Amino acid sequence: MSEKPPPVEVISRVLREAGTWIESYGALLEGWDYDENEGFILVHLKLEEARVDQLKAAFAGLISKSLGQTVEKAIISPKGDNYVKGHGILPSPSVMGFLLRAARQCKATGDLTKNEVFALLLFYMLGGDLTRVVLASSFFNLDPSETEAALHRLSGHYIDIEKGRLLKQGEKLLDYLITNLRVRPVAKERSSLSLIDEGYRIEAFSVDKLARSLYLSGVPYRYIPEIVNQVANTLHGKKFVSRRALASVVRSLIEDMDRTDTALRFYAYIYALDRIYVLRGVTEERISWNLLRRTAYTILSKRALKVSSSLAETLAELIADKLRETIASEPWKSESIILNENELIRIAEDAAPLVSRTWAELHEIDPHECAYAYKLRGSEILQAAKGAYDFGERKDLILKGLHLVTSGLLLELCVLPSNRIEQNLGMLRAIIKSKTGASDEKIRRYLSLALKLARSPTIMSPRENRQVLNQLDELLKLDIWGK
Amino acid sequence: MSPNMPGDLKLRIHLSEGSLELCITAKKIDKVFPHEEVVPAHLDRLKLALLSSPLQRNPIIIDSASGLILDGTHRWAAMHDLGYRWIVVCEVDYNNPLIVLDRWVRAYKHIKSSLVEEIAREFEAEPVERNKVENEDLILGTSSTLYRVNYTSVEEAFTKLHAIEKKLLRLYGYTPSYIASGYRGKVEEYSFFLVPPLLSKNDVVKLARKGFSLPPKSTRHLVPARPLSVNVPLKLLIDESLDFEALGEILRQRNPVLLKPPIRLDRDYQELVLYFI
Repeated sequence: MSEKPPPVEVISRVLREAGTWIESYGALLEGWDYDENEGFILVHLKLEEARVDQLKAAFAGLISKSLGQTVEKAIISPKGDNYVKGHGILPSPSVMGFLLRAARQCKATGDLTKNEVFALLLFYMLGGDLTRVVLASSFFNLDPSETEAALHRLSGHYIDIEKGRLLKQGEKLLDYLITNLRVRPVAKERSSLSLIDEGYRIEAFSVDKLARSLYLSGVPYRYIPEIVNQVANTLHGKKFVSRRALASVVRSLIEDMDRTDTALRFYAYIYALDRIYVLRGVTEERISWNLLRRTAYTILSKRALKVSSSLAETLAELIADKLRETIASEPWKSESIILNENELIRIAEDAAPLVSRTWAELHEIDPHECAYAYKLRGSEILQAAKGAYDFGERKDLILKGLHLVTSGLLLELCVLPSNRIEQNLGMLRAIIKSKTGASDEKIRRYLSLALKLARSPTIMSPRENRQVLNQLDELLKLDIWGK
Repeated sequence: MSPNMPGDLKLRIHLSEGSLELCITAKKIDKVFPHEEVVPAHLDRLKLALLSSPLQRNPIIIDSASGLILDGTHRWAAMHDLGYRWIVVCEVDYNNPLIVLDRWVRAYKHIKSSLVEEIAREFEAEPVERNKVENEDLILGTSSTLYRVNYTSVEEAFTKLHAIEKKLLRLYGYTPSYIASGYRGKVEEYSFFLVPPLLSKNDVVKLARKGFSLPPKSTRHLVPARPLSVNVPLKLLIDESLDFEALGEILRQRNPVLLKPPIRLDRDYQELVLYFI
């Protein structure tokens, strides 16, 4: 720094923003260190070698601009440059998390000890790099010398240490091991219970929705599983329950567990929307889902793009959440609240960038320019994903790239994209369903591959890894642009 | 290496000449000991920096068997004076041949030969031929003449070395440059050299155990790899008891990156750096 070094909080914010920017170019801000006394920042970036010069200069420029002061580039390499090549030891957070769980769960398998099984897993996850494996082992509370000895015992049968790759027997064991170390998602139970609201609409009772309402209304998390279980027991065997009865049961359960105002807040949260009226001219209209959807459409249509019903629904739910949050925090002060229509619009506009970042970007960029930029950046990121060997980084890049490409495709079709890849894919599939041209076939295949990639497991067994790389390869070869 | 503790972070590094094991942990501050005196001005600067920082950024390097400080005497002294009970250390096996013990030659500019002769007389030094010089000799020299200072013990040799340095500084205001073996600068710029005896690792441990402190920059320890920026909160090190599990998690929270030498950070590093980011 050329002036007084800023506090670490400022550096943290600036680097977070710069990190988000560099990610959109397929690079990663892996970490940073800041010495407040010296004003010395060391930034660890992961990027393609060919882009080092371009991105490091832009990155430093961005930091200088955000800090409002010159960042002097300290010469840290004897070549007179301000960067040096580093060799990261630990994997991405996803892989690290999987390995931390595996370190506890791994068992002796066949003729291999527990340590040997984990060493094999570590060798595979760290790209067969012996230096990394031995150094990283201590982060899993293993003795590095024992890990090294285990790898040498595995060599020739399960791995080839010299070439840093797996042998057939190692692949076979890992195919079995990795799929078995995953936590199975809890199957969604089909509810036979229906909920009837005050407007006599009927919807299936959802445990997820109940848990979400409890959590968002501020009920402490530790009470939630018990409340959900008690509700399920109370309502067992019934086909219908009114919202009023359900809310009363839940309220009384909370009151048993927490004697302060938690139950009151929950009740206020559930009925928050019923207490809000919107003043339009001289007439008042009670908040309804219909009104929220209409407001969402109005806001999202401002850029003259088609708005899908799913996107409007998502925004309507976000507006409802914001309204409920406001009302539930003051449960007893007033019976009803009257919002000016402009106030509702302001809340909806605030929530809109949450539902679609593109909506916010379109205020500054033309939709066609935006589509082009998204597709270009998305394709570059997917290319970078092909070269990434860390599973967590690859999955992040795949999701980021697919989001940008699908957003670009939707913009070309004059449809407003969402922040969610699956929602984008759903919208694209719905549009393309009725079309039958050859180019549409290609897009259909692209969308099918994109969905498979988006839903692929982050931590892959060797077999799954080959499948995903083939899918990614095929997707990148499909020429769908300008069709 | 000491037995495994929950706060230990053992790192095994492969180098072309062999393997080196580092163990980052914390030690009671009075269980480790220095072998060199401190420079008061440098110590004061470090104390000020520690008072304004919430972290011990870099571990000091110690011998795992004896607790001898190989690198970080000033940081240890500063933390000791500020009342810390624990210090974060990087333990190494001092006997590992990859850890090399060298010395710093004192090189002076503009010293006249008459002054060199006067010093030689005062310290009863005798001229010696270049090919007769041994590693354990204390040598005074100009480009043309070398003198060997006689001594009966290592303590006496370093006491004499220190006395010569003090005389040159106090009476004449001369300060030396410290030159390591393999120095690539212009040696002819200097008119007088003061070469300390090359100690053995065993000598260093023995002297320190006896409580004899060598003058500053008597030894030069070359450790082929070192961890930097482990950033342990100082508040963890102030109390009598230390939670090793918390220390272990703090050390494991950061991701080390291997940086190959030569690299210039707060100073030049000729060794492999494991920078915790």
